[in-house]
Amino acid sequence: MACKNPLLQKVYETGFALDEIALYLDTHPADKQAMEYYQYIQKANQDAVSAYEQSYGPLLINQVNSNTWTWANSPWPWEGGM
Amino acid sequence: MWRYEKRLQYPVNISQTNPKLAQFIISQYGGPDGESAASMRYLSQRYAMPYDKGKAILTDIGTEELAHWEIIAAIVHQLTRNLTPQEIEESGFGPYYIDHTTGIWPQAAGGIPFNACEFQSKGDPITDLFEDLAAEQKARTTYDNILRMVKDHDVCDPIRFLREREIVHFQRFGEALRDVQDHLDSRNFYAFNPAFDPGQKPCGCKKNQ
Repeated sequence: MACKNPLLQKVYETGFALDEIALYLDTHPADKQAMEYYQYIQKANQDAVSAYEQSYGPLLINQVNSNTWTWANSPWPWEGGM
Repeated sequence: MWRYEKRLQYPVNISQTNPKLAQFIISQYGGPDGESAASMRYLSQRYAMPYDKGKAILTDIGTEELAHWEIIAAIVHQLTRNLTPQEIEESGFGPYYIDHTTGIWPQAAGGIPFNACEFQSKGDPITDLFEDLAAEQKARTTYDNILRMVKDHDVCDPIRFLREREIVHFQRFGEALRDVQDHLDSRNFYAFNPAFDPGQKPCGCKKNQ
């Protein structure tokens, strides 16, 4: 199911691709093609996270990039609508 | 969603093995006031917390407890490295060794397996936060009990760090409780459960017309 926010959808997609290729690389560390895909998706994920965070606040507690504490702001992920 | 950071929250470097001490300390891995119960308690209670400060503190302390769980495992692991059968027999580590070799398994010091009955998630923020405050104190008491048994600085040092964190968490949960109470009826904080019947008393009775 796609999420309602296109910027967050990109984080979901690239985040899952990163999880998947990381597991594969754990057991196939010498696979060059997989390593190249990791580097490609790592960059795509970083870009997607930055774009989302600029509009909606931090995804990680060490990424609060404002002068106020936005970490505790609603909505929280388990509440739906994200 | 979680990602693993490849380090401990506080370093553990133990040079002298001590299987007897490992058997005491494993209680904080899977015992009644241990780090696994702490993490599951706070992360499970988040869903019934109506206020942002409470949601944040339960998420962040619940996450930190997972890191403490890992520190305890690292301590037990380093205390039980390269044991000889003779050391196992003489230290009293035998019963654990028979079932788990030197693998890490969540149990209390007395051998009782980890059980979700060691924590509650009651669906009522005041009830839950009082449990959390008590849990932090019980864990601190357990660390005090452990520290009385430890002579080795390499073990004391990370245990003292964990004990200090219990005190900080107690303070933060106290502040979260105060925030919840600020949202409620100051004459009767239990007048209703803000997670279930916001703004009204739980009784379904109607006054006679």
